[in-house]
Amino acid sequence: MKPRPLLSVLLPIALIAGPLGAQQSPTVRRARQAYDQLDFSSAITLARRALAERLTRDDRIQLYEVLGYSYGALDSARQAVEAFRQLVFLAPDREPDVERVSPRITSLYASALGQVLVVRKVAVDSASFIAGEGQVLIRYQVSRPARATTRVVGQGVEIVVDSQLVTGPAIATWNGLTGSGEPVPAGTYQILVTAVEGRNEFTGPAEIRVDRGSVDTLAHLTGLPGYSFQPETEAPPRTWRPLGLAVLYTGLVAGAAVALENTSLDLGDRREVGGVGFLALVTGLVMSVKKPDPRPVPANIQYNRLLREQIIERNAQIAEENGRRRQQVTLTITPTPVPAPAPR
Amino acid sequence: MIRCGVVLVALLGLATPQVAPAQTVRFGLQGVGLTYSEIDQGRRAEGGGLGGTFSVRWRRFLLDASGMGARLDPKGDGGGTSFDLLQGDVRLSYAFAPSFAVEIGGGRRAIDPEFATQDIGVVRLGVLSEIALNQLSTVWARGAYLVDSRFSGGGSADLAVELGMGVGVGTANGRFRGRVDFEFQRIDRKVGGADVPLQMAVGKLGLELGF
Repeated sequence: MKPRPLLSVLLPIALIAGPLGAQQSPTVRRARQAYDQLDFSSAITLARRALAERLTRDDRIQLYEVLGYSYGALDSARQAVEAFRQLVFLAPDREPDVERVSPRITSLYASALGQVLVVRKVAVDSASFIAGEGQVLIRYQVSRPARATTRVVGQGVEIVVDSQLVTGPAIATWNGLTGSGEPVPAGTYQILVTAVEGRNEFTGPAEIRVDRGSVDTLAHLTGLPGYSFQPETEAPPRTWRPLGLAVLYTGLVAGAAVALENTSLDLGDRREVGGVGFLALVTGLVMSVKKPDPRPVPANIQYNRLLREQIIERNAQIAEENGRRRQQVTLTITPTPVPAPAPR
Repeated sequence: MIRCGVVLVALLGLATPQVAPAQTVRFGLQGVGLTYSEIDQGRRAEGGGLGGTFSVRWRRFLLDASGMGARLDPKGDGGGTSFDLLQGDVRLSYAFAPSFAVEIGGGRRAIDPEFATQDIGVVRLGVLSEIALNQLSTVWARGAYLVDSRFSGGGSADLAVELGMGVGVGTANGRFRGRVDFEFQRIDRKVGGADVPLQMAVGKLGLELGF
């Protein structure tokens, strides 16, 4: 098939051109090819020539990298360090690939890094926290001992977050508040870490997206974990006590009345004591047979009262806490890629 | 006789003390049936009527007033005439224990026509035991010695006692209560050395309203 030979030709070209896709200058491309073919002298010559042209930032980075590597390969340490210094200024976060370059070149790069003041690898952790209570970590590295000031800039505010003397890796924290103590508005912010050493100054940026949200409120309690309301009444067991008492009282009084009765007088058929006594016994029997009425349980009533008081007290605390939370803001911090600087 | 009273009080004391009913004031109406006997077995009268009750409970005190009016007709073979009986009693008790109270009071019984039988006035000293069967019902018993009995026909009484009991069943809130009462009274009256005893048994059935 016809497309196959064409594809076999275009594919290696595309693979080679991939990393250099952003390059505009043919001279830069030729310098890179010379370096790849281990023709370091030509690579240096072509790179020097290319630097006189109008180049993009990426092209300049490529050129200084080719120069540094080539000088390093030719044992021109001073020139290599100088080229790496320029590279560090242009791309502080760029480092030689230790798997592809020699340790000597890596060492030269480290030497160049130690000679310049730059802030590298400014990074912000993703975080979600209540403004003023939590914090987000801002990590960075300073190549030389310097005072590093961390600022958050954007949405019309500028906040100095941290200022400290550092060298090497360092961490600053930000609680999400402005200088006046208010949560920052939602939007995009730049994290600027400025290192100052004498007259030297370098600022490393990072960008974050801040989103605001409300703080979850606590639900009111209807019970306390591990505690439950107890029944305030209980059905007592069925008892014959009512009948017993009715028999006792009726028997005593009726018996006493009969015993005290004056035998010389006549009270007829004693219908009064008979009738009342009968009704008393029936009452006692019915009260014994009927299902006992629930009776209050004082201990449980007291227990429930204390439990209710605890719940009310706890809910008052929750209401107070919720009132505070409604005035709070949750901030969600999301790092975003720093856009490449405009071409020089 | 005094021994009987002591035994009665001791037996009533076996009952478990209970909390007194919560209602403070009660009014009630009762139907009354009674048997009245005097002098000998041939003089007996029976009848019925209406009565009323009023009671006030305050702390350990209970003031209980009752009255009744009844028409009695002779039933024995000793003859006699019908008469109207009007009686009022007042009792004030003090609960020295949850189910026990001492009681003092007085009573007055008027007869119409006059001299159909005796008008009587008494002063009583006694005890009252009241205990709840459950939340709805109460039973009580009382016994008293009539220390100073006066009669319209004169005379005195060596032995004058009265006994009573009753049961009340009401609503759980105590607003309404039905009650039955039994009262027995024996007075061994003597006039000039001659025995002219009198005796009465009363049964009452009524309803009360509590506040």
